[in-house]
Amino acid sequence: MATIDKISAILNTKIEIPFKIKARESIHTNPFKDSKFDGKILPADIFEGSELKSQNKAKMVLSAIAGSVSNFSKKFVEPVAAFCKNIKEKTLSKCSSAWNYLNTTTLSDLGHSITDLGHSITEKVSTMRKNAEMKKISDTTPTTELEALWKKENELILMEAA
Amino acid sequence: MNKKISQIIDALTTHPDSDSIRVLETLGTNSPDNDIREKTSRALVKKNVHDSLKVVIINEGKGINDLSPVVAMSTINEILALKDKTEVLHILEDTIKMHSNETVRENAASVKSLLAL
Repeated sequence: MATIDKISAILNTKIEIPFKIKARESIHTNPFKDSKFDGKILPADIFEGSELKSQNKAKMVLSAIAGSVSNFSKKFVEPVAAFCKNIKEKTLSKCSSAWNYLNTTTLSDLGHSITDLGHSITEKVSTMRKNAEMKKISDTTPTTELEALWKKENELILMEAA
Repeated sequence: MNKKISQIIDALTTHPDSDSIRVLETLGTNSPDNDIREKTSRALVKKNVHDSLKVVIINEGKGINDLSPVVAMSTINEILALKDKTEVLHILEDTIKMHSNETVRENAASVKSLLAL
């Protein structure tokens, strides 16, 4: 009988499956819950690793700042230098072309260019005058004025034909 | 044609002053330039008043009686295009009845027959 009781007692006890995944609530619980320190005080240098990590982090940050500053100076200085070089080259080329122009141009050429300039100015002024007169011609303009303009135009045509 | 003269003719065409007819007749219909004469004749027809129509119908060498067929035909076309033909018919009838020149009378009769079509 006693043997039967022992067997029934064994059968009644829950056998835990070794690889069964426990409930999810255990994930966020205290990791040291099951640890037993038995009244022993943990030494302070137990977190030495974390201190080292923070020191390393600080070093990394500093090195990153130093690197970016050096890169910035490099990136800033190089375009400025290129810009200055470009300006210098352009100025030199302009000066040389101006010098060449002065060397090759004679006084007669200058005279021609001034005459051309005068002609173009005269043409522009006459075009402006004509445009202003065109704007003046409308059915509100007095007939005497229109007649005078027509006569003037006829005279100009005759002069051009002559 | 000179652009400025063309603009002056356009301005005179719509000008309310009756003196514009005199300017068009004096400077336009007497111009040696065919284009100017043509444009002036059309302008006078467009005015559609007794004095302006008279210039292009009863005068020898002007309007429908112009020596240039282009000018004459252009004037006739403009007359045919008129919406109100009362005044032009009246002048044409008077010309056919009373004008001293036979050519002018014949031209007027031709235009009147065209208008009747």
